[in-house]
Order: sequence, then structure tokens, then C-alpha cells
Amino acid sequence: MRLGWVMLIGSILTRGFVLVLLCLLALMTYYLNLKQAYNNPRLVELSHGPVARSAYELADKSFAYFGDPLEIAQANGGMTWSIRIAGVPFTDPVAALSVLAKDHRWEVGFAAGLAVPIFLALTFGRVFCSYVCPASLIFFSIARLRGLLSKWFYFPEIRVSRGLAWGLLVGGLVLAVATGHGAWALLLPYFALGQTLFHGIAMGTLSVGLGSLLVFAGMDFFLGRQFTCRHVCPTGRILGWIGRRSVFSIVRAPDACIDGCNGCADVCPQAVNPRLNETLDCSLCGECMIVCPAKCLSVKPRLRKSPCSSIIRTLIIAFCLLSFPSPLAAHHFKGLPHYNYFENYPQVPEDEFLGQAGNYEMSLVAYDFQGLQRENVQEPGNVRLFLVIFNMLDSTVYKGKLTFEILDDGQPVHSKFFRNAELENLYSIHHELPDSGEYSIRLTLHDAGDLACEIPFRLSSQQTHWGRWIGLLLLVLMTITAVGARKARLNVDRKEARKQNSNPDEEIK
Amino acid sequence: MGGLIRKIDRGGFFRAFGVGFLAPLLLLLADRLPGTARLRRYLRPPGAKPEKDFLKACIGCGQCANVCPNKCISLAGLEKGLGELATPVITARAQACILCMACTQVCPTGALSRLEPTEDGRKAVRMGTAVVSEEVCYSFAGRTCGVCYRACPLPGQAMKLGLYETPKVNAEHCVGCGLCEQACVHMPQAIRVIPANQLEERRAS
Repeated sequence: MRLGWVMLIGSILTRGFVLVLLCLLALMTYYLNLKQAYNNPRLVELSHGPVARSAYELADKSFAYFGDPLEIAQANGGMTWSIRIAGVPFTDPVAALSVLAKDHRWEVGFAAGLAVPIFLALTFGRVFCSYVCPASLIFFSIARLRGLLSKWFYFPEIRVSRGLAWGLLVGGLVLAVATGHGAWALLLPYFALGQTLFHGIAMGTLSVGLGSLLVFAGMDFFLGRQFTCRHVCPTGRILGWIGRRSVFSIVRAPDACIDGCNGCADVCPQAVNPRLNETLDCSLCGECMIVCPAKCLSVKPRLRKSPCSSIIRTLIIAFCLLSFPSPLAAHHFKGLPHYNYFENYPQVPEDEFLGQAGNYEMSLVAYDFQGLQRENVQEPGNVRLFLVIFNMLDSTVYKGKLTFEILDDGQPVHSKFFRNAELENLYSIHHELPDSGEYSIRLTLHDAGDLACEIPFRLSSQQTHWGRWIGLLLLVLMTITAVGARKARLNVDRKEARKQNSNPDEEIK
Repeated sequence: MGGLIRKIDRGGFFRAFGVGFLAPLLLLLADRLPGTARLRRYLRPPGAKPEKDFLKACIGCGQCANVCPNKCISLAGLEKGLGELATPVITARAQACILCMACTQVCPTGALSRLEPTEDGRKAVRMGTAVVSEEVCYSFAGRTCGVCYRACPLPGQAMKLGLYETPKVNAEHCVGCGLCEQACVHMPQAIRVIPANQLEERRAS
């Protein structure tokens, strides 16, 4: 079938493109190096020869087309495991799981990098395997080689339960926690390939990833057709699971299908059996459509009673998942940036409290030494209060005598007399305050006719953590959507099962 | 269509799961390989978190090594142990960090915290501290050298010169970029950067 060929050739081309891209990214380190060191084609030629010069000039021109070459070049980088193309991050779901398992929060960009892979998996299924994964191109070639050699040799065809890949995923996570995330470089074929290419091209060394790649290739050659993709790769397994209800999938026309033909199942690189109307793991590579003699296979959106609702549900869950990290990590006050503060850098202003008496406006900032993670700091009760008193009548700052009292439930717990304002016209006070009190400060401005004013204030740890509630809400929303989706699916399945039972010719084993 | 729920063989599933679960753990044996004396003295890229947190966060994606215009970041192989496989490593004597901060801008997981290539950004780096071997150094033997001082990105602060250009490292300001170590003309080197993670270990012990 024509579409099958288009898909197959397209998949080979895109995977080849990814492979070339990885090589180019590795070569880019040379370009960056020359750019940084010489920034001049003539100097490049003098020190590295005319070939280097022409390559350098070509890269320079093509990058310059988009903007500053150094910046543009540095907007791309990484490997299949986590990569940025034109500044857009892509994250491997396994990398994300591994980071979570190792007790490290996702960075926002890292989590956002999951959006495209998960969306693709939800819409098209395991398309990563056929259209992106550069390692699968190798396994594809090995499968062809097996086909060629099968005239003279016998090749076994071992089939293993899906448990193997799930086990590898869990075992890999345990290994990553026990050692480091780098262990995945040996367990994931595409990661091993990326490592091999980068080590070989950019660093001129042999990567240990090559060894693991050879093991995978050996398994493909000796154990079974596309053994790694079918039974070993944990990423393929997890993507297949995410996309198990993908919108687009392979669809069989049962009337045209020929009994006794098993071509589609034999050729499938992901061990899907279209004859059983299976669609789990389908990567839309088009191979089965090519071999099918009856032309009974096609790619169609899966028709359900309401295909739209499943998309909406999927989008809701994806949205909730993606917006999950931000409320939990939210701690910024008035958009203040971090300026590379340490995790517990004390002087992140937690809140600002205003009070007014007479012509004076008092603004109090609590530099809450509880910091971002109060439980981990050395002095958890440490609070620093900064006060500026503004005279609204003549737009000046009050710098005179002041009595500064901290009240807990109306009872003074600390008091200090200032003869005048300190550095930068501030009054500051530093005190230990537990987070259980009802605090306020009482100010007496002695140079303004003993004017008194009371400003209630709260410490950061007393405040409601709205982020947690929003996170909980997202979780509830996600659960409701997921449960609803599952119920709807079960209903559809039941209806179809009933329909099929009433028609014994179409019974499914 | 439909029939999406395939009957699975539960026993087979769990057996295969067990095999799959145990197989990666065999890789732990790689750590027991004899031979290569592991060079423990290497630097992490600028902005790297303390070693423990760094290894928690670093997924070995190689983006830092990819954007490094100085080609000083390399990715570790098995010689540093399985736990540090594919993590970025700087060997200062071979190629030291020029503190351009490109790697800190691209790290996807926050293993390297973001720094700007400004004076303040450079000062915030804590890769290690340079240590001079006075018994070896040319200048301390009266042969005026001062090469390390000229290589230092924070001259006068991280490193000061005495008589005959004898280097004196101010540990408080030294960021540990390793440019002095790379530049040192004495062979074997007379100045070396003790990585921050080893300083931590030393302080702990």
C-alpha cells in the first residue's frame, strides 16, 4: 500500500536526519572552539588547514543567517536523552522518572521538555521508536540483514513477555538511584548511541556505550528480529504504555484479511499483532501495511463514541501534569529573581507590610530567615525586619528617634530605641521569632510628636501554602479525569465485546 | 477495532519482570573491575551544586559538553565508576575552564545553577581552590615566573604575587577554574586545583 511506503521511507529519513543531527551537534563543539579561539577564517586556515576553514566558514554563514553565530549554535545541544533544538527543550520520560526517583525536583524547562514527547505518544503512539530513535535505525538494518541471511542460516525468533522491559525500567531506576543517572547510558540503546557518537566525534575517545550498543545489536541478530525494540527497551515500553490509547493507530479491515497469513505480526518492529486487532505499541512505521497481501491495514483515528472527549481528557491530564511543578515550587515574592541565591539564602524578602499613622507611611519588610526551607536552616526562628518611614506630606524619609517594639498577641516581646535611622535610612531589627505568634510591631515616632502606629505582620511559615492546595487540586482533577476516561473506555470495550459476541465469525481469540 | 485488552500470562510477565529487574543490577559489577587507578582529582563545571546534589541532578545528557566553546568539559567514562558515568568532568591541567558560563545556561536539570558571564558570576563559581607546591614552584626557588598569576581570571584577588612573583592563593576568592594549573610551566606542575568536592570531604574528615 502506498501510504505504508511513504511512512516507512519517511521514518527512515527522519531517523537518518536525527543521526546526522547528533553528528552535527558533536561536530559543533569544534566550531564553537574555533569561534571562541580565533573568530577568523584566516587564522583557522593557518592553524587547522583549508578544510577546517571552509567548514568553519560554512557553519559561520549558516548560523549567522539566524543571528549571532555563537548564541545560535549554543541554543542547540545535547543528545537523544535530553536535547535542545533551537532553544526548545526535549526531555526523555525515562530521564524525568530517573530524576524524580533520585529525589530531585524537576526544573521548569526540564518538565516542559516532556510536553512534546508525551503529546506525540498520546496522539500517535510509540512514534518516537520509528521516527526519532537513531538506534532503531541500526536495529532496522540488522532485521533486514537477518532477512537476507535467512536463506542460508537459521535465526531464532524468541518472544518475551512485556515484563522484561518493565523490569528493566524498574531495575534501571534502582540502579540509577544506587549509582548515578549515567547508568542509563548502558541500558538505553539510543543513549548509548548518542554517547558513542559524542565521544567519538567531539572527544575522540571510545565510549563504553559502544559496548552496550554491540550487546543490543547482538541480541537483535541472534535472539530475534528487532529484539531490543520489541522486548528490551524501557523507553519504548513506557511510550507504548503512554500511547496505548493513541488517537491514531493501525486499523484492520477484518473482512479483507486473509486467514493464515501472519505477515504483519512477523514484520512488526514493536511486536504488535494487528491480526488480534492489537494497537498497543504501534509506532506507525508502516511496515505491516507494506507486507499485507490483502491491503486490509490502514492508519485511522480510532473511532470511539466521542473521539473528541478522549483528546480533551488527555489534554486536561497533560495540562495538569505540566502545571504541577510550578505551584509546588512557587515561592517568589513579587517576581523577585533568585540572583543565584543559595537554597536557603536568608535575604529573600518574604512579604511587605504597610501601615499608616498621621502623615507617615511605614513599610515593613520581613526578611524572614526561615528562608525557603525552614526545616533545614540553622536558625529557624531568625527574622530580620526592615522598616522605612515615609513622610507623605513633604516626600521625605523619617530619620529621627524611634521606638521599635515587636508585639506577640499584644504583649511586647522585644523593643529597641533608635536615636536615628541606620544605613540607607532604614531601621532594622533582628530577632528570634517562633512562627506560632500573632505578631505586630508598634512604632513610636518621637520626633513627630510621639506618634504611634501598629502594623500586624506575618511570617512566611505562617502563611497558607496555596501552591500545595493548587497542586492537590490538580491531582484531584487529574484523578477524576483519569477515572472518568477509564470508565468511558470500559463502556466502549464492553459494547464492542457484546457486538462481537453476537457475530461469531468475528470472534477474537 | 476494540479487543485492546490482551490476555497476558501473569506468571511469564513476573518472571520476565524479575529478569529485567535484576539484569541492570549486574552492571554494579562494573564498579568492581580491577585495574585503572581512578583519578579522583577532577573538576566539575562552574555552578555545579555540591557533589551529592550534583550527582542527584546530573542526567549525563552532555548539553554542557556540547556547548562548551573551550572543549574543556568531557564526559566521564567508566574509569570514574558507574555512579559518575557520563557526568561532565574538567581536567584542568589538560584544558581549564574559561568561565564563559555557557554550560550553566543550558543545564536542563539544575545540576549546574545558572550563572552569568559577568564579574559577579565568575566570583560566584566554586569549583575548587588552587594550592601551590612551594617546594616545586620556580618562583619560590628564586627563578621569577608568575605564569599562573597571568593566567588567573581574578588577579590580585584570587592570587597575589610576592617577591620574584611567588604566587599566593587567596582561598577565599579562588574560584578553582584551573587556568593557573593549565598554565603552570613547571613539569610536574607546581600548582593544582583541589576540587570543591574533595575540599568538602577533607573538611568532613
